[in-house]
Amino acid sequence: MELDKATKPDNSESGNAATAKANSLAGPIPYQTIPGVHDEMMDSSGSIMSHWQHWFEAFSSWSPAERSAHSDELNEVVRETGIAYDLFADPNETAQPWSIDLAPLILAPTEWQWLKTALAQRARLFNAIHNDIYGHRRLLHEGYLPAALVLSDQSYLRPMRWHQSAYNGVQFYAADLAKSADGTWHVLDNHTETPAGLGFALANRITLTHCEGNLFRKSNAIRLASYFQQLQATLNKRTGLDDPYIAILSPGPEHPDYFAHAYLARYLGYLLVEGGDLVNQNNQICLKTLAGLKPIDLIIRSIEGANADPLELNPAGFDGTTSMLQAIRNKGIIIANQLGTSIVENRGFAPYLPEICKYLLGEELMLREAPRWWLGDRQSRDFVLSNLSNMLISDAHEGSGRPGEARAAIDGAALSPSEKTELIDKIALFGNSMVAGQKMNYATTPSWTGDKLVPRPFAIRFFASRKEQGYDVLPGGLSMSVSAEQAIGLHSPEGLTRDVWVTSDTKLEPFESIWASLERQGTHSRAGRSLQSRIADNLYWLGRNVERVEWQFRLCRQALSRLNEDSGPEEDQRTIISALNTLILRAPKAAVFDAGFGGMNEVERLVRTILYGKDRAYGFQESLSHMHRLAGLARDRMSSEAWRILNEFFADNRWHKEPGFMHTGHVVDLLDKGLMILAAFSGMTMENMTRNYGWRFLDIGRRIERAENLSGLLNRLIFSSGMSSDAPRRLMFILEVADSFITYRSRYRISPTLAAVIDLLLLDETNPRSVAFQISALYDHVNSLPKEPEVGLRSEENRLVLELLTELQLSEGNTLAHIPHLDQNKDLEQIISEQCPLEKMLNNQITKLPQLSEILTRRYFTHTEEQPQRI
Amino acid sequence: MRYRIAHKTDYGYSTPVAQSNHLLHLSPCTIEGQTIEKHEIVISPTPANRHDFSDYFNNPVIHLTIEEYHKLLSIHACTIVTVERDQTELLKLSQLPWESVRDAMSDADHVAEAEFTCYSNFTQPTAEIAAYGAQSFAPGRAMMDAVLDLTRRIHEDFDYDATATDVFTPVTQVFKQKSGVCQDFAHFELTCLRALGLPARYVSGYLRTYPPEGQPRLVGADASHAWISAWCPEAGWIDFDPTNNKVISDEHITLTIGRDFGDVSPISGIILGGGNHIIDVSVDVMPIDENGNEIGSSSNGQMQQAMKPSSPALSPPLPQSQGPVEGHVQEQSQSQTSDQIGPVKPVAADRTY
Repeated sequence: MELDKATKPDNSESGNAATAKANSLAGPIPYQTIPGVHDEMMDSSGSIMSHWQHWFEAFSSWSPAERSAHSDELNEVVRETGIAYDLFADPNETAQPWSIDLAPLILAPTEWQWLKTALAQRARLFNAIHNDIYGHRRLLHEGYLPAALVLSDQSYLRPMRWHQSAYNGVQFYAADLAKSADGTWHVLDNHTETPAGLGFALANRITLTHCEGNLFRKSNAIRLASYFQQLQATLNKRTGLDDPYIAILSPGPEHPDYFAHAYLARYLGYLLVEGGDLVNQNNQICLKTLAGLKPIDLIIRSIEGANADPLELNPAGFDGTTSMLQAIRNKGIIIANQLGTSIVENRGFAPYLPEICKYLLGEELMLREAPRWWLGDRQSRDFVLSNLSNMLISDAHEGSGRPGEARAAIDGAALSPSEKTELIDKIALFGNSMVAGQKMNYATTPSWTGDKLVPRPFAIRFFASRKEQGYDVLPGGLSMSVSAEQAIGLHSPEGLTRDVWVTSDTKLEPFESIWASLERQGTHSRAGRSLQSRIADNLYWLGRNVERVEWQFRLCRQALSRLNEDSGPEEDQRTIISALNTLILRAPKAAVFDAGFGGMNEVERLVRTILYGKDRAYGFQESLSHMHRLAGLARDRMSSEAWRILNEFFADNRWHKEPGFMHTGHVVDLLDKGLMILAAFSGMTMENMTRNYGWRFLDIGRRIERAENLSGLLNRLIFSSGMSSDAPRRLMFILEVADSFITYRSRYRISPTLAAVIDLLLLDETNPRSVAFQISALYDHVNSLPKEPEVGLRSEENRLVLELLTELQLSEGNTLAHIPHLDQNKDLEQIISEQCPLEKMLNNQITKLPQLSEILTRRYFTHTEEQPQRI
Repeated sequence: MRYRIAHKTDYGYSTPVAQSNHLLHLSPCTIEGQTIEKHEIVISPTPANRHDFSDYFNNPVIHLTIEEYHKLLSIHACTIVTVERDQTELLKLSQLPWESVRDAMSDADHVAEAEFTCYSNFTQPTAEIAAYGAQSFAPGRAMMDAVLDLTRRIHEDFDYDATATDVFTPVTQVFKQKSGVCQDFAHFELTCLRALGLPARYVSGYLRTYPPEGQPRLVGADASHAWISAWCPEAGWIDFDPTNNKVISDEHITLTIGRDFGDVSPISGIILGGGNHIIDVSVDVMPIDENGNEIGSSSNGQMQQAMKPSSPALSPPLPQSQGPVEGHVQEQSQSQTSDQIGPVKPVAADRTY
C-alpha cells in the first residue's frame, strides 16, 4: 500500500550502500551523540547500528540539495494531504503545524521481537483488568487495586458494569513508550479509549514512503498493510457476518483528530459517521441514509465513551446517540472499544500492574512504567511529598489521548513556596485522582533539523489490536519528540513526528494491497448503497459551491480580459458591469469596495468586491469557506487526489488575502490557475467517483447552480437596455463566460446571433454548458434517487424537472429569438413589453430551480437537522 | 406506617415529538424497613420498547422509547408501601472515631462503602467546603455523632429557598449563598463527608407531610424529597435529613440510592422534536390504614376523595421535582428540639419551587 505511488527514479540514492561509501565527496554525515545517553542509531563507540546502516549511508550520500529537495517534497505532501492537527484551525493562528522528520526511527529485528511480545502482553493485561473492573471486581475485593483509585475516576462508566465479556473489551490498545538514557524501555501512557493516533501513524508512513520509498524497501522494513488486514478480518469475525456494516464513529470535523478518523475510514473502507447520523431504532443502532434507516453491526469508537449516550452517561455528550446503552444491553451493536474502556488508562494503576499481571495472567510484566505513585495512597503521598523536588505531579487521568498532547506535568522542583502549599492542599483533597512520577532522562534518536542530524529525545506510540487469540502489534508507530524529563504522558510541544520502521532479518513476504482484500469483501458497494443523509447534504452543497466559484472566476476573468482590449470599451463596460452585478446584487446589503487609492475603474472595483469582499453572499470568499468546510466534511467520500486538488485553494494564501495592488494581468493569471484547479477537481470527480448517490448529489448541486447562473446571466444581458447596439459583442461575452465560444465559432462560423446563442446555451442538450444539458442531467439524477413507493405517481421533484425539461425540448431557437429585427433598431423596451416567450422561459428556470433545491432538501436532508433535546 | 404514593408527571409539547427516550427512577428499591405491597407505572402513549432492569446501584430502573408522534406524555407511578423503621436507635451504636471509618475505606473489605467516598459530579469539594465540614469532626469524635452535628449545622446555617437554585446548581454556589432546597443540602452534606474520606450516599424519596392546623391535607401538594445516608461499621447505613434536621423514621419513604441526584433523577429524557415543553408534576403521599383508607387528622376526615386523586393541578411547571416540605426551616429554628421528629407543616399549599 505504501508504495503505490511512491516509486521514484532510482537516482538520488546512487544505487546501494557500497556506492554511498565510495562516494568520497559526501562521506558519512556528521552525527554527535550526547555522552552517557543511549542513542538509537549510534552506539557509544561511534559505530552505526547495523539496522540503520542502509538508511544512514544513503542519507549521507545525498547532496545537501537532494536532502533539502526531499525535505521540501515531504513538507509539500504533508501540506497537500492536510495531515494537520486541526482541519478547521484558524490559518492565522500560530499553532504548530504537523511536521514529519526526514529521519525515521529504525528498530532492529531482535528488539522488535521483544517489544511485540511485551506490548501484546500489556494489551492482554489491560483487557483483563478492564473486564474485571466491569465485572466481578476481584482486583478490588482482593486488594490488588484500591477501590478509591478506580471508583473515583470519572471515566468509570457505571452503567456499563456487567455488560462486558472476554471478547468485547479492549480491541485497540496503544502505549507511549520512551527509552531512558540507559536504553531501557518505559511506558509513559496507555491508551484504551479510542485508536487515537492510528490514523496519523498510517498517514505518516504513506507520506514518508512517498518520498523515501526506496530507502524503506532497502532497509527491509515491514509494511503496515497486514496489520490492517488482520484487523478487518477480526472485526468481521466479531460481527459473525460475512459482509458486516462497520462504521468509524467520529465526533466530527470540529474535532482536531478528524483528519485521522477520515483517513483511517477511507483506508479501511469503512463508513465515517457522526452522532447525528445515528439513531436507536428497536434497540439497534441505525444509520440514517437516503434509503432509510440501516442497522450498523459494529462501531469503531473514536468518541469518548462518556459522550456516547446523553440519556445514561454525560448528559451534555451528544457524540454518540441516545439509548446507545440500551442497544448495548440488547446486544444490538458491537462497539470497539467498548464504552468505559478509558478507565484502564488511569496512570495510578502503574504501581499495581506487576502484581496484577501475575494474578490475572500468571506472567511477569515485561514492560513497565517509570517509577510512579498514586497519591490517593497515604504512604505514597507521604513519600512523594518528602521527595517533591524529584517528582513530577500530574492528573491520574487525562482525557485527550491525542498523540503528543498530554499536559505537561508539574515539576516539583520548580515550585515557589506558595505554589507548593497550593499543591499540597490540592493533593490532600484530590489525591485520589493524582499521580507522581520520577523524572527521567531520555535516550535519543537522530533528527534532521534541515541542515544537520542531531540527537533528540523521543517517544513512540505503538498500536496493538485484538485478534482471535491475543493481540497483533502494528510493525511501526508514531514517534514524537518528547520534552526532556517528562516521565508521565507524552508531551510534545514541537509537533514534530517521525515514522517508525521495523526492520526484518528475513526476506519479507510479497505484499498484498489492502484494496485487493477490500474488493473481495465488497465493502465499497456496501458503503455506496447507503449514503448518510448528512453526507448527501454536504456533497450537494459542495457541488453548488464549486460550481459557484467556477462561475465567479469565469465572469471575473472575462470581465478583466475584456477590459484590456481596446475596441468598444464603453458598450463593453455596460455589458460587463451588468454581468458582474448578477453576483453583486445577490448580496444587496454587503459593502462594495470603493475605488480606493489610485482609483480603480468600475469593473476592477466590482471584480475586487466579488473576489475579496468579506461576508458577501455569492462572493468568492464566502464560497471558498463553504467549499473548505464542506470538502472537509465530505472528505472521506472523495479520493485523496480530489482533496489535494481543492486543498490548493485552502493552503495557498493568495486565495484568501486581498492584494494591496491589483494588477489586472496577475489577477487574470490567478483566475486561470483557479479554473485549472476546478477543472482538475471536476475531472477527478467525473473519472474517479463511483456513480453512487454521493456522486449524484455532488452533481445535482453543480447542475442546479450552473443552470441557475446561466439563466440569470442570459436574462440580465438579453433583457436590459442597450442590447440593440452592441448585441454581437454582448453575445460573445456571454458565450465566453459560458465557455462555449469555441464551440460556437466552429459550429456557426458567423458572428453571434441571438437565435444561435439561445440554441447553443439554452436548448442544446449536447452542450455541457447549456441550460438544457443541466436540466436533462437533473432529470436523470432525480429519477435515480431512492424514493418512497408512490405507485403510478411522479414525485414532486420529478414533475418539476420534467416541466422545465419539456419546455426546453419543445422550444426552438429561432422562435425564442423572435425579439425581431435587432438590426432594424427596433426599440427593445417595446419588444419586452410584448409577451416574450424567452423571458418567460428564463424566469421560469430562475424561479423553479430554487424550488427544486428546497424539495430535495426537504425530502432527503431535513431529518438530519432535527436536534435532540434534553427534558 | 402505610402509604399510598402517587407520583405523576405530565409533559406537554408545543410541537409533536417524533421520538422520545426516557430513563425512569420511579420505583422503590428494596431496603430494610420498607415493604412494597404494590407498585405500578402507567405510561401514555404506550412505549414502543420498555425494559425494566436494575441499575448499577441496584435501583429498579425503566428504559423506554416512544416512537409515535405525540404532544402529551404522562408517566404516573403509584406505590403502596409500609415503612417500619426508626434509625434514631441506631445512632447509639456508633462508637468508633470517624478517623477509623475513613481508614477502613482503604481496606479491600469495604469496596462497596468506598464507592461512596468518591466525589461525583454534584459533590466536587473545595478547600472551604472541606473546612466547613471538618468543624464537626474533631479528632476522635464518634462517627455518627459528628454526622448528626454536621446535619444540624447545615440545617441552621442554610436557608430553605426554592427560588435560589435549580437542578444543576453546584455545591460551591449553594455554599456561597447558604440557601437552596433538599437536593442542594444533601449534595452539600455529601461533599463535606466525602472530602473527609467518609462514605455517604444520596437518597431520593418522599416525606410524609402534615397540613396546617385545622386544614385538610391537600392532595398532590407533596414533592420528591432527598437526604443522605452515612456509614459506620457498627450500625451500617444511617439516614440523615439535613433539610429537616433529623434522622429518618417511618415518615421518610426511600425510593432510590445513588452517589448524587445525577444517578437517580426520577425522570430523564431525550426527545427529538417537541419545541417548547411544560412539565406538570404532582406528588401525593397519603397515609392509609390497613383497609386502604386515608388516615387523617379529625379535620380532614371528609377529604376522602383523595383516595383517587384525579387532577390535582397544583404543581406549576418546574424543571424537576425535588423540593421537600416548605416552611419547616423557619418553624424548626423557632422550636429547637434536637430530637424533634414531629410534624412539619407546609406554609403554602400552592408553592412554587
